[in-house]
Amino acid sequence: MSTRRSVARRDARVRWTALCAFTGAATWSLAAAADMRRLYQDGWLLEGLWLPVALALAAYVVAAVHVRRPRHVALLATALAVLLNAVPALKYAYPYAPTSDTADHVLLIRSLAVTGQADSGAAYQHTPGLHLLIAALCSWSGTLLWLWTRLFPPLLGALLPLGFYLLCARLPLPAGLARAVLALSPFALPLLYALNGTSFTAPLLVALLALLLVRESGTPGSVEGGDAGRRRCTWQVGQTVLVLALGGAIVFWHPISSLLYPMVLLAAGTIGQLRPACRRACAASGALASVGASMAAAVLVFWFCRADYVWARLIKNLRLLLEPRSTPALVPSRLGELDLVGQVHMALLFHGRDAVMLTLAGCGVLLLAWPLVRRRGIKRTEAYMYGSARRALHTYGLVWLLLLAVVCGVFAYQFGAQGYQRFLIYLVTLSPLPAGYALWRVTAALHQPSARARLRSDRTLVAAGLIAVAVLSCAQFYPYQPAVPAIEARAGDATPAVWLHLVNSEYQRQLLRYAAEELPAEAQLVVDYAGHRQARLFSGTTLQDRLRRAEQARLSPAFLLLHWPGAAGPYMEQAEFRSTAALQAWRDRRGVSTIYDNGGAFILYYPGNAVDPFRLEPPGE
Amino acid sequence: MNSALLDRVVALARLFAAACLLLAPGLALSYWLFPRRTLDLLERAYLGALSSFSLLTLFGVALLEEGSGLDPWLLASCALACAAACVAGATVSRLRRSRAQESQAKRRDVVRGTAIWVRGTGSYIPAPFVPRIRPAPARRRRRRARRMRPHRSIEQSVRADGSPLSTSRAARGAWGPLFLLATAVVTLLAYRASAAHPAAGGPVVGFSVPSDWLVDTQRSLRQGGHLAIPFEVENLASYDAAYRVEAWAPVQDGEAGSIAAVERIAVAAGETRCGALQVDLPPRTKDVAVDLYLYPADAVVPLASLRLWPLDTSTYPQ
Repeated sequence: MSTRRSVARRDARVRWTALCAFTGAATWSLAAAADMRRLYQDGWLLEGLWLPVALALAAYVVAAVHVRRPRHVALLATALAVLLNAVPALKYAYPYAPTSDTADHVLLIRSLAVTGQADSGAAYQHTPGLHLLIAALCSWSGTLLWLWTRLFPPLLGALLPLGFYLLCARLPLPAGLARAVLALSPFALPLLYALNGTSFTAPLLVALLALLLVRESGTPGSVEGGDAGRRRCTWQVGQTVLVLALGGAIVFWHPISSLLYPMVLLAAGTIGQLRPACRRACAASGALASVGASMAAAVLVFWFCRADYVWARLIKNLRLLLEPRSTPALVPSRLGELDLVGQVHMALLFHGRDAVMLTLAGCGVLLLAWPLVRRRGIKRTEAYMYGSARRALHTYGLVWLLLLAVVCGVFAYQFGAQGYQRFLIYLVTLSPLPAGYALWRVTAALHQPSARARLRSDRTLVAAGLIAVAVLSCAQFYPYQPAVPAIEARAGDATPAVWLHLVNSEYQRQLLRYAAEELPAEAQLVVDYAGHRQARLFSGTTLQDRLRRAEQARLSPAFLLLHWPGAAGPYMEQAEFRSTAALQAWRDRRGVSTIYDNGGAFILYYPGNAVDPFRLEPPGE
Repeated sequence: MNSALLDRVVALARLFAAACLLLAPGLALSYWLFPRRTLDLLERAYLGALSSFSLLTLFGVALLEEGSGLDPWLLASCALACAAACVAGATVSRLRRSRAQESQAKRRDVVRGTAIWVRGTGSYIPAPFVPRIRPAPARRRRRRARRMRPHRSIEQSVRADGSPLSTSRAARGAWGPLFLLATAVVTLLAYRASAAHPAAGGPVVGFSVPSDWLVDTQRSLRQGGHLAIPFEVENLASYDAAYRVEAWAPVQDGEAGSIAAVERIAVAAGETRCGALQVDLPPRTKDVAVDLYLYPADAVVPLASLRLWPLDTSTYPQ
């Protein structure tokens, strides 16, 4: 029969083994990824790296349930958050993803690093917050642009577990709840290996909320002497300065986030102030409202000074929001042609992690709201928390519900288009706290006869939750392209329903370099969507005047810049135009010459009037 | 020390210096806003990073708005100046705080009965000259301590009264990170020693018709006869290579066959070589395309292919 001491010793052995395994696997993953610098698109983001990453994840789950101090769980979670994003970011030679906003961000960073000025053609020229940090880092360290553009966003992932740690430590939340929240936090991150404005500002929303809630409800911690009132005052002054500085920074980091955050804070603060019962139940609602109003005022003033920005960008974004079909559809238009298994595959690849996180978080918010709805006293499990912490959790749940309402509204309005995913990112990033609360309440509800049995059931439940989230997170974080169901583009020609694996390849870079340097300056260059973005990524704005999307081609001869789907990168067009057979048919058409080929990408030349190159019919056919 | 290793060390040092420059103003600000022992290491790292990002963003935007553009070294100077100002502010406030704390401690001691004021003189007589109040019984002390302990809250790096953990315990705690660091270093060395580093891959060649000659070549194809088809081979690999180029066209009964070849063309890594295929075509042809294939010198599978159609303006809508 094992004694208490032997159990503790065995626990320590397991803990240290898991920590060493995690450290070793993480080092192996990062070293291998940094060595690869892959120049082409392979089958999977984790191709050649799945073993160390899987080992690191397994070791993380074991360590997270055995480590007792929340501070150590926070450290582990921070390491995993950086690892999950840094591995794919380092694996490829160029920043990941030609779609989304990667190209626009890189364009702005390059112009800031090279000329010190924001390129007037860059989409984010008026919000150069993160970009100027990366540009400065490139100059200070003397490294190439590609390194920091790939590495800096994954490093920002560390902010999320640390933000939750601040929240848990300062409210303070029970240690079991804190451990669950912190252990879940790395899986709530957006895909930071792709440079995307929404992704890299999402951890700042958690930071803003944490600072506000901690400022109102948190304990100032122990200081050397001094009376409690002065300590609290110092603490609040510090938090206020930070909140204001952070709010100001968010205005310059990302336009949509700087619009959304004040609205959400303002709405949550207003709801919290509506009735005395709301004021009693929610902490910091006044602070939320005032900070939201301050940020909104700052945004309005900034945009008032940038009238051209408002008209050029905001109106365009609103138009895009109202016209879902004007952006590439994330959900393939022919999803309905897939069988049920295929549709489930697609759903898991797109939103497996989101679904499980939102389900857990929804349960957590319901559990938080239940005593308020029933108007009954606080139960024993809830009495573990201080009143201020409980009120802070209510406020947090309120913000989460507001964002859920926004996501549902946008999703209902434009099913399948790009807009809803942005709001989903914010929502999932906020989810670990309510999701951890749900896990913690379930473990607390499982009454066990002895302390050891309770500990074992706690660990089992948290480990099961972590494994489920980790597996689904990997499916969504690292989409396995061969698992994407195929659809029939033409008779007998199958192509993936959607390209989820999006690598900027050297094939495309060489193709665009050739087009920029060798083709006549007045020539019209017709490109697909991915190529259009990659031209900004690799060549800046030098090609922009000559590039046309297929549907915008002019009445003049055209060079068509195309590539084979696969090693050279993905296509984002409709299936009928991007299958291998369709491209081969193009190359075989009479009158269309192939004038450049590098094995993965090629240039076709059509000397007639290229009104719509994907549909033009040379004479005689 | 060889130069490659030295370059790598310098690059790493510059990376480290850049990271320090990025984080310095925020950390300094956090020390000013939140004095020692009010935050643990993780909280300070977090708030320091947030402060740094915010401060540098605001500085950078101000520099951009100023009109002369973003000078990274001016930004670095701003960051360092800000850090210095924060450190100075923190030092001053710490000095002021310690004076205030001293008087507060004296007052607290008087209240507790461990010191007395000599009325009218402002003198302070601390223990052991003043008899201490008898401490509570041990059981009551334990019960009180249990009641006052933060309820299932996160442990702090300091004791409840603000004093730091003992040196020996801190020293024991330092073995953990050292052990993990050693594990990371051993893993890295083992990986470096054993791994066959995979090739980066990507294109190895660029095969093209020079655009300056494109229209002329297509017109020549239209006219037929003996002509030269120019081509360019760009070696995109990191090693020297040799290639073979063949021209194919319909020869008999519409069947394609080789009509010309350049057997060997050697191209150094990163270089471009031009060449020309001498072909004989039937005159006035407008329905026959010429295919150009590029092979490695000793292989049968082509790396890339081109196709040239005769240019006849009457056949294309203009």
